[in-house]
Amino acid sequence: MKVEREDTYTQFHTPTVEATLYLLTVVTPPSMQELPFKALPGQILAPEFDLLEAPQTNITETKETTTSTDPTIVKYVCGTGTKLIQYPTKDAAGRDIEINVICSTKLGKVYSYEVAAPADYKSVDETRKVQFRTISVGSSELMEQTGGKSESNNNLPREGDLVLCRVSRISLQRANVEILAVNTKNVPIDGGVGTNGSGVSAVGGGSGAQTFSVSQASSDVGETFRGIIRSQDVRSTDRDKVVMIECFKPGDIVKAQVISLGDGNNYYLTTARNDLGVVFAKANNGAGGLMYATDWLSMTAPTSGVVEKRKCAKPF
Amino acid sequence: MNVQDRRRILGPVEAKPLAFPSINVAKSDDGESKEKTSSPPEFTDPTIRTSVLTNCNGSCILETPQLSLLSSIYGPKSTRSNLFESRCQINVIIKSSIFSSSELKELSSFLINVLESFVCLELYPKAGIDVFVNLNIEEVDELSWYIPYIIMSIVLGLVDAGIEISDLPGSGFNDNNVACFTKDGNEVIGIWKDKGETKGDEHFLESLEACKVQYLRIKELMSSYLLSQSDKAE
Repeated sequence: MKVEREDTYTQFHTPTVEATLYLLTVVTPPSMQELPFKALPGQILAPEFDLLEAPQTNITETKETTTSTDPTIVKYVCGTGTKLIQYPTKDAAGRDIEINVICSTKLGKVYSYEVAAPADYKSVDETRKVQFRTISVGSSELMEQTGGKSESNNNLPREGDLVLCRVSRISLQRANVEILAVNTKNVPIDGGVGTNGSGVSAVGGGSGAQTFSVSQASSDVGETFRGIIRSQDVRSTDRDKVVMIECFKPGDIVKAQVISLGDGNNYYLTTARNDLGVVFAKANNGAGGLMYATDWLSMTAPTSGVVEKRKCAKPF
Repeated sequence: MNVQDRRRILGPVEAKPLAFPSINVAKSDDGESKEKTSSPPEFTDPTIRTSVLTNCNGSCILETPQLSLLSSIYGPKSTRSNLFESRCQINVIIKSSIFSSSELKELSSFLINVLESFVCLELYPKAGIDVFVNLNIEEVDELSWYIPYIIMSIVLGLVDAGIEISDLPGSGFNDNNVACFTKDGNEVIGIWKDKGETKGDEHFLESLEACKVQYLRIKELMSSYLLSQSDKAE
């Protein structure tokens, strides 16, 4: 299976540094239990803890002779499309025990990649090396392209997610918006291709550093989730002197970040960052042409030359 | 219709209310109706098709010689409720032309209970999932006979919609009993009994075993269909 993946990859792409890094992270090292290629909902994928076979050639090369013979422990972390469940089984002595296993909750291919240790992890035995791998299951093309690192359809907004929304109503204290699209990857503040040089390319091609999952709920019949941008969350300076009509107008498309799930009616959003704010707007309340941001406080329509005040997002 | 209603703009004073003559439905006397009252037919492997509707998140059509059933899944989408719900809310609506709405409502609440036990509700806070089941061709009089097929089509619809479920459950119908199983038959998530007499524990356990056999067959059909679908998609 690993050989097939390498062949098809190199057939269509010229190898670059990024491609080699991608291959190294996607190819699964040998473990006591091989992960299945595809999974059905309810299918057991792996136990929570497993052992990697210690590579035999390394023993002569490493300097620490005592720790290199112990196999590395792999701790699997649940990614999207998986769930941790208790699996009843028998231990070596024949007693009934329950062990934690990762099982799939979706239909799709199984992806596994290495991650850093989670912040709250306390190691029990310092002499053993522990590797953390995330398992995720999915069938979308975006997951295939990113090696399982992004979520696919049906993602609901969560705290910290970037969303694209349309302003439906303005008042002195808040702007009501309808959420149109959600991006779940944590993108750094500069919003660019990535400060470390690696980035995700958009599904349809191009260098979009962020991929938005467009909501399948129709805003025409009011099925979309709603949100509120309070006047104190519009910008980070002079928060109490905000005049809402100079920041947003109804119909504007705004990029915002979710700060709270809120109540049953509304998510709470913020645009208090350089890369958040109005992305698209039309002049004259929608009657004029499309405007482009000239600085963070104003937008201009090139066709008519009219300048309007908005709280703009720094362009990509 | 009250022609004297003072809240409405009324017609002329001499108007008479409309009266429709009562229609007597002539019962068909041919032998077909007698077959329907006898025991419901055995379980046959249905033909399955998923992703048939474009405007819903997931859908599934199941057909057998006596039945055609369409289930469509919409969600997770906004519920517009005032309260914050940390779990998803499931709603099931069944449409049929031969069963009464009170029976269908009871079956809906039973199905909601069954669905809540295997759909990963905590992943979809503040959202709702709507399940619509349309019994398009129904030639069997017994509502309980449809339940294994209904649950099968709902599960396939949920997988088609990409909604996370912790297992592929199924159910079996035997002797007026319907039992829903999960985890390879080790766990029962729902029991439905509408007609017939309660015969005692041993009879019920035999009936349960027969339902489990049907469940295992249904799970095999679903698994092979889903795997062949994902192979085709590549």
